[in-house]
Amino acid sequence: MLAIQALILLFSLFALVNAWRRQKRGKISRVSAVLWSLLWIAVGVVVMQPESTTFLAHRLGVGRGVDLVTYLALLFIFFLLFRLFSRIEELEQDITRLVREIALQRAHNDDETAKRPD
Amino acid sequence: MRVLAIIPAFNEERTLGEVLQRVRPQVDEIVVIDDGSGDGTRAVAEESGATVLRHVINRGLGAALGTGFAWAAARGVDVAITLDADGQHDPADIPRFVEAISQGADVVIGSRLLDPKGMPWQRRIANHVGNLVTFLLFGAWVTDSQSGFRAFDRRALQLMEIRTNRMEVSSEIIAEARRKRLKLVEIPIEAIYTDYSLSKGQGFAVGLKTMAKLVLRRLQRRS
Ligand SMILES: Nc1nc2c(ncn2[C@@H]2O[C@H](COP(=O)(O)OP(=O)(O)O)[C@@H](O)[C@H]2O)c(=O)[nH]1
Ligand SMILES: [Mg+2]
Repeated sequence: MLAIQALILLFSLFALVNAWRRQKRGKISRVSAVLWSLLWIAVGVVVMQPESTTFLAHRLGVGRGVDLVTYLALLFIFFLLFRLFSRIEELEQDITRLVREIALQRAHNDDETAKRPD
Repeated sequence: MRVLAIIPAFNEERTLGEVLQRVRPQVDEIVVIDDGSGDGTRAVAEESGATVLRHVINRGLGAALGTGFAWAAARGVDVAITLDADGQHDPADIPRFVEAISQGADVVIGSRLLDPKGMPWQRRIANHVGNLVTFLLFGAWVTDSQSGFRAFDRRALQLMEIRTNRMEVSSEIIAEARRKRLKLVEIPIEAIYTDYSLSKGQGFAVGLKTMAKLVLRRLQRRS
């Protein structure tokens, strides 16, 4: 086994365990944990048996297994990027709700102060 | 009918005072949303006697309008009119918006394109693109999806959910009106293009960003 294989294998093992730990803590759903597990298992298999991708690649009309892995990895990164953008957008909306609440609250307080005779 | 004017303002101290002066006789109440301006916008608004809601940080046009709508709902007004603080809209048009509401419209959009004279050609093209994007993403067609001069009745104020923060809001409003099956009417307005408003107005980059945000909005979970 090459050092790089061992490293990636160790990493995916760690990531797999981590996915289920996060599931236990309620951070991700059971479905996501299963999906993440499948991904990391696939990574492990591909790392140990790189030739296994050739078969799939040929069926999909891609010349080499390595190419297929590269394409998939790229797609996956796009997916992550999209999720990141969505998450940022959600955060922006949350910040706005806070800012709005403060603005309305202050107007309300000013109103109360104005009404109080002193 | 009790009419409230909602005026979003971001660094508009130069024009806001005059706008407020001219809006005043047309409505019962005015609320200015000072969206984290770094100039005297707030002071100008307070001087005129308008209610000022201040965003402690700049959150964008959509966020400011959302705050205005929340205020309108809390005040229980019958009609809320939105118009720009940069002097692009003529407050003398307000009664025609109120009229359209009393004729049964829930949402009234002031369209610059029913009669597009005086509109710079770049703006016209930008507008057509905006309309097309609004239609393709949300299936709602209007002649001026990017207009900031609008009116809403109580029903619209209650039903619409505004989520976007920046310029995307104009298309979102049209989309929401359609999704909530509100009656939308367009009336012709003339937009006033001064060097000031053009220099401050939105450019190409903002247009692209707005489009991207609209795609995200379209894909967001509907709650
Ligand atoms: N609240 C808020 N309003 C803004 C912001 N940027 C622009 N506006 C307001 O939105 C209105 C229209 O903006 P403008 O830049 O003139 O857009 P254009 O007329 O479509 O080119 C004006 O009343 C501005 O004061 C912002 O960041 N926050
Ligand atoms: Mg403008």
